Amino acid sequence: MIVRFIIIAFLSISTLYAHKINLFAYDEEGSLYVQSYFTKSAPCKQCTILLQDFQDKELARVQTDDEGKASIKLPAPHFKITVEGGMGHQATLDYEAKSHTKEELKTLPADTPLSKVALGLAIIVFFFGALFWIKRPTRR
Amino acid sequence: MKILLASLVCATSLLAHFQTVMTDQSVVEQKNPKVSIQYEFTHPFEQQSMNMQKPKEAGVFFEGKKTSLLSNLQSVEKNKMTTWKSEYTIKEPGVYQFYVDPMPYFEPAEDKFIRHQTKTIVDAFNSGEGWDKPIGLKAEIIPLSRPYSLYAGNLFSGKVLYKGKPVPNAEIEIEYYNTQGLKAPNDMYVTQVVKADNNGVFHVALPLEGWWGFAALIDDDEKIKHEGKSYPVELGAVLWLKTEKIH
Repeated sequence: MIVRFIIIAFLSISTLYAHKINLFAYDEEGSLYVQSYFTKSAPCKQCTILLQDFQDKELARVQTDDEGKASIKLPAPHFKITVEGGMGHQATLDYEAKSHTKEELKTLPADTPLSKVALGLAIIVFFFGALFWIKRPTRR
Repeated sequence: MKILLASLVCATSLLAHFQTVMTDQSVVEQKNPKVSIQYEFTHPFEQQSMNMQKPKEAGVFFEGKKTSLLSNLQSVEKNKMTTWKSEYTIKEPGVYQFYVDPMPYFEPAEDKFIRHQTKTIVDAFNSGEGWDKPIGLKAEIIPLSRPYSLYAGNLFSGKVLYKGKPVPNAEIEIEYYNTQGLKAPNDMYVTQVVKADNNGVFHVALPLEGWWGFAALIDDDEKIKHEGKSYPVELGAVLWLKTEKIH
């Protein structure tokens, strides 16, 4: 009985050891999309995805669905993603966002440079000035 | 003079033609998802390129679907010969099989056309599955060993298929893509040859790190007309893979 238990336990450990957990992430328009899997057809179902800064402060936490997928708003431009697959299995990814968080978008400089704004204003002034000059009352 | 000509013909016939498809990475990680693909018609060990016309078909096979890369192909001159390249950005985990079906090449010395349907297999983000799936080429090698993340010295096994069925006793030529200028003891060592068993299965050891090409050469059931004459076609099922050494 003891031997049987040891054999079962050993087999179980061996199987888990071979099941390396993987983490794939990308972001679009301020949202982070995470996919976790052992192999392509073996998703990490209902696994916890933890987002942390580099002082290990938790930024957000989300659960994968039955396809091993989860999505969440980007909490920061640069952070760590960890998936916890149970039984000590986890994978961590140093993630640098390619799109901007909502907070960043508020503070981003405008796309239009000042020189273009000034040129636009000058064109408007010139246009109305010319119009005024054409329509000015003529002296007789 | 006759002896000289005969020896030249003999020397030429010893060089095996290989179509190649090679990628700058065969295991793709998230930090660099852009794959560069290189297509060349060459004698891999001697590094003697030949002109390659724009292929009939070039693409990537992913999860049962082929995507053409033909419109992305750019010609690249190498040793005054035309080779081709393309790029593909991987967006999700999985196994990606990059393939090319070249324009048949007429070899006057052998009185036949050569058409090597060639592929290489890339894993993205440790997906781990799908490398043993055929992509539906008329002639194709299916790996029985995972064809990426192989160490130099590993044994590689594969199966030769023609029209989806195993080719018993197929002959497979193997060449090393010799970028280091290694010298073979003599010409017979340049192209290694193995025979498949009754189920089309073969095994080869890969002693060096780098790219290895496997070409199972099959007499095709179609002929090609050229200058009023019908010529046989040597259809090649070609697979390229890369081995690495442990540092």
